[in-house]
Amino acid sequence: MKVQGYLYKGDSSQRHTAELVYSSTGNLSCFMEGHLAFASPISEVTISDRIGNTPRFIHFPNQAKFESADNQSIDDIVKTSSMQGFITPSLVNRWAHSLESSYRVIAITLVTVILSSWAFVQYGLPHFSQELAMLLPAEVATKIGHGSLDLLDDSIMKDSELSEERQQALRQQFEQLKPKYTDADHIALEIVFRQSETIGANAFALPSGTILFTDDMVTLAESDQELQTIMLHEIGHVENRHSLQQLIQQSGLALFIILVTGDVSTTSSLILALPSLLLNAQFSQGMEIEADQYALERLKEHNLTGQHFAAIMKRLEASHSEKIKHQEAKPKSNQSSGNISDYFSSHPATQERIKRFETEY
Amino acid sequence: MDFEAKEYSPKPFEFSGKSGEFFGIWIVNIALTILTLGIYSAWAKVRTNQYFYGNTALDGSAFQYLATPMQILKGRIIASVFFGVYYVLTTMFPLWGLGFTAFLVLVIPAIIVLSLSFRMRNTAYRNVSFRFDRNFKQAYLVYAGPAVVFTILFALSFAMAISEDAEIFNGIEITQQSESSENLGNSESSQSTEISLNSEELEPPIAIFAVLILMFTALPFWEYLKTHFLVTNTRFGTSPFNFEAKASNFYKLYLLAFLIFACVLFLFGFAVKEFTSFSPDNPELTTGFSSLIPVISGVFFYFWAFAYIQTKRANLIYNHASIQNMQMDSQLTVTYMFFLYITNTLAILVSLGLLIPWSMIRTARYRASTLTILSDTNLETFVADQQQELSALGEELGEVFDIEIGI
Repeated sequence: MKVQGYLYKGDSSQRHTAELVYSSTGNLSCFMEGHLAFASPISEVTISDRIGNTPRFIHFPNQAKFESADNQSIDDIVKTSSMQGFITPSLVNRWAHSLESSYRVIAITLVTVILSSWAFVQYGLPHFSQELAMLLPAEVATKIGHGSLDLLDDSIMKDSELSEERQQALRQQFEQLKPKYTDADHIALEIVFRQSETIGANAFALPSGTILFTDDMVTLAESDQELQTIMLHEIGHVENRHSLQQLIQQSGLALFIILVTGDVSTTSSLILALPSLLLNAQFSQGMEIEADQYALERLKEHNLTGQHFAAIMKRLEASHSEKIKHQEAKPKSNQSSGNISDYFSSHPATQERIKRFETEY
Repeated sequence: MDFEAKEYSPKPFEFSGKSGEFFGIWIVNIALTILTLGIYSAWAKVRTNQYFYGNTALDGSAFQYLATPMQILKGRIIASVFFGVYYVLTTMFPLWGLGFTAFLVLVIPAIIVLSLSFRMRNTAYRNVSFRFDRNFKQAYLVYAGPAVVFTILFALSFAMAISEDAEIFNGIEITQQSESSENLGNSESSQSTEISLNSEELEPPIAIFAVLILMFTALPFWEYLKTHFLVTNTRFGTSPFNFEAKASNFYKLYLLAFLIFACVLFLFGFAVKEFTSFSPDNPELTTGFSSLIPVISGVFFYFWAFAYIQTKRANLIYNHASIQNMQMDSQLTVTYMFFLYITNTLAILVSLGLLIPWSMIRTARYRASTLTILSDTNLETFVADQQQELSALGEELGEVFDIEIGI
């Protein structure tokens, strides 16, 4: 078997036209201008892997290198000599190119990669994050969330304008709603009140176990029972460690993307950041339902009904859609607040969630 | 195989990679990387590099990527452990993390040298590999020197500003004392000193401003020093690259870029102001799609600015680099680079990443098609240097911590 190509002796960049001949005794001989230059057993020669149709490099023990784009002939030599037992190519060497060049394999791989990535991001990662979030000690969860209230206070929150008596009354009701812990490892719950024009009526569960109610949220309620259902919902978020879960999920997703697109230099970090932003919104939806479930299960023990929750949720939604209309008429108002309330009211499942409370309890 | 005829003419770089072919390699790389929980990524990196190097040819001979997957894997594992430690330290114990970050900053010049040394050693052409001299001393001088000087200057100027403030307060106290203790006849003069002191107090700290301006004027020179260091320490075999650019070339580039950006930003700001000024009369206009126009044009401008700097810099560097009296010639155009960046980004976004191989191939093809070696002799006279093994740790550390090496 013969291959035409170039030979470089290894001491300089000088190029010679050359021919390689493989003999059935397992020897590779190099001929230059019709004369035998040198020969080596094929077992002592390094043949570069086949990568697409790029030229192959055959490295001889005497530092000489032979370059040829005649992939077909070189593949034949590798195949023959390995069948004869002179060389044993690596797994990658044997399989990678045939996988990479088969249309059927590419099509199957493409579908599998897309489906498995989707399944991992949609089901695997949330499940794993949930397990891990519940496994971590409460101390770690609290430590990670430390400082998020300060951050809110510095940016969009002001001190509450509710009277101290009102705050104290609500705080006492909140104490009653706290779950009866059987073990020591739990996140300490606390309720705080803040005033914020940009956020409007809303309630948050922070990772540290602090539950934040805005003044507008408190005044929106027609009864304390309504507020208690919201408190239960937020306690549900803390008990299920949703913020921690979200954090693990985001880091996991970033890691997954880096792993998959590892060596891509053309993609900017913007492109890498985008999917995690998009998915972030979707994740919260399942968590809302989980927190709803928690609230639903504990309604009866505190003499509350699903109607209380449904009533305040409807009012909340109405107040937010009104706010958006208001903002659209005044385009110069704060834009960031628009996004928060927009996301909230455009929740397609909010209606369904309300329905669940109305019908089930 | 007939290269004799071409030998004495300008030699262009040629890139013959194909998107379809590379897509197969790329998707199999991803699948095997997922299946092996990341281990195959080392093989993926090597195969990708081999594909791009092997498809780049100059005067009929191809380039070769020599690093082995095991080298990359070892480097990658160690670098990942470093990164894990760094991540845990910075999130859980910020103070320890700060110490680790400081340590990292200190070793950046060394990482740059090791990384380039590995990359060059594993790039071969005609059985002669490239080299990057491990000149750590010069690396620290060039990278850390100016950083240290400016940190000291800043610290000094801050200290000066603070002490100046203190002096002014002392001065006021003294004048007030003199005002109260002395008689009415002298009050006019003491008042005037107080006013002059007050006006001095209102001025911004001049020292800090001076250092800032000095830093901005020195930046192009620093860029020049870094580029000079990178180019002149690179060799092909035993032949070093020469760099004939002057600092003034860098000043011209950055000054022009600065003027253009300033003009565009000014016009842009003006346009946005004009655009939003009539919004109260016609609120519907700004709430819909049209409110996105400033954002979109801002993104376009960002891409254009990026393309401008990248293109002009690359042309400047290549067009002033030579080896054995062979001049390199780079003819990238800003317009086409801008077009490439925009279309690549859009294509990758729309295809959810599936067009990444296509964008990599067309970028490499354009890059090669604009690069030529001008020489009246052949490329046969380069002498090889002896081989030496080198670990991939430097390069993998640089990659994991995202250290930019501009060349």
